[in-house]
Amino acid sequence: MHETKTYRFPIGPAHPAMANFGIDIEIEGEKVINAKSDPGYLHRGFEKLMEYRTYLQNTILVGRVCVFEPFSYELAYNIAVDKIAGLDVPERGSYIRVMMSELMRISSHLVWMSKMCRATGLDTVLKLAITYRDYILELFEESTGGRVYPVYIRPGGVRWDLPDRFNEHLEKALKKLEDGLLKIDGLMFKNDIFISRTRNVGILKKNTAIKLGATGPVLKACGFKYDIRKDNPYEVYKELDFDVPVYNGCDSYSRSLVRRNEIEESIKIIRQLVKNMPSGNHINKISPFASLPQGEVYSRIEGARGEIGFHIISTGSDMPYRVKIRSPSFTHFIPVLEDILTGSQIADVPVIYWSLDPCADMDR
Amino acid sequence: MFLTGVLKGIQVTIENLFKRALTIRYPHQKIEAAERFRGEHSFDISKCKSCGLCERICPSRAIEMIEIKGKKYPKIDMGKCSFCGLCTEICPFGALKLTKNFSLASGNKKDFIKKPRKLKK
Repeated sequence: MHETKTYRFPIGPAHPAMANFGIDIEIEGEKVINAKSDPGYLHRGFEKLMEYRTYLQNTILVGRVCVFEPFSYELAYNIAVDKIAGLDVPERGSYIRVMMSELMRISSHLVWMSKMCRATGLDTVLKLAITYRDYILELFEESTGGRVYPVYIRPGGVRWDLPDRFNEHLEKALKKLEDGLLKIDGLMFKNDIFISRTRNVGILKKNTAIKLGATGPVLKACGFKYDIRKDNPYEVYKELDFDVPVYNGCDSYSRSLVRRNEIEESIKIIRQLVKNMPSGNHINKISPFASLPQGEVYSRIEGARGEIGFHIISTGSDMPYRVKIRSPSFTHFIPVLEDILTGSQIADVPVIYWSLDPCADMDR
Repeated sequence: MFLTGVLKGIQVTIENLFKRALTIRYPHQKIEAAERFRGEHSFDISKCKSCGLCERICPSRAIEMIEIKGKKYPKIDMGKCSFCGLCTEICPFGALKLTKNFSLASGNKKDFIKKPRKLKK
């Protein structure tokens, strides 16, 4: 008689607990003995598309790499273009860029919160977090005209100046967010159910994290104080005062706490930006069909999920010769996820999966 | 051990039970879109000088210049348009603009291709 000890089955890509790619796991009883990521279902060919569009047209495209944090990709791309073109960004433009990308970080972490809670079965926070995100989306609509895809950051600055009553609305939204965070704290981060589902689950060893190229909250949860905003400051981060939350747990709970505290730090940063916002010009315009000088640059920023990088090669024409996007989810969801899942329980798979915060940027 | 967690959840649920709903009854009630909202195009045919810049800048290649009485005007494919607003920004005569209209759904495929005269002024 044929006897099998292990079973292999795919989870996702069309599965309520998964994002847009699947995992093939092999189990023995309740234990996962082998896991393999199965990406490629959301490949849209951004890098190739960008070779056939001018530098300005590409600003519309880059935000679409990741639905939850388009500003981070717009910022990274435009920093690279500014470097090639040798453009100086006016101080006000730089302040607005940073303010918007910090708002995007909060909004992205709130989406993660709701999904993490769905994985652990806390449906109340699922709805609460999405509600609080809407206050930020309203700010985006007011200042940029788009709720989800703002298309706001341009080579040389930002597209428009802030609207008249923006600061008033921003302060209102931030207050609501702070109240909301306290409410979510009680329901999620101090909740025994959440703690028991995430503590000591999905441990990523410190050496492995470095070896496999983890960045962002995943690395900060392993005890490494590595943040590009501090270590290699871009825009106006040098002048800002904020902390980098670091935890030593290496587990899903630490990763959750890092993200929760990053929201608080982002609120702190936004308050400083509003206080010190200079007046004046917000953009140094270039022609929409401008040919940029020859060159090769790499720009990197700290996104909500980790390091986002753009490597652009220009041969002197109005379109880039080659663009390479470095996205954090790619390293988190192929080597890191496979490493963490091996040896875990099958019931913990969704928790581990969402504790890494997946996004469409892994396929690009 | 888990009882406090469950009770906290129930407490929030009961608190919210008596609060005003955040959502609205959409087709009957509407929230006014923001001033900068990017919706359907409006086109003033008398201002258009047929320069073709909108066709050149469109990143989604949704705009095509078609001939009407010897002059060329933009035809917009709403199925391709990503509502970035580059065409309105580059238009030197202010002929193309984005309105606040976001309800563009239709059961007919032809409705998405807006010929110059079909676009509202």
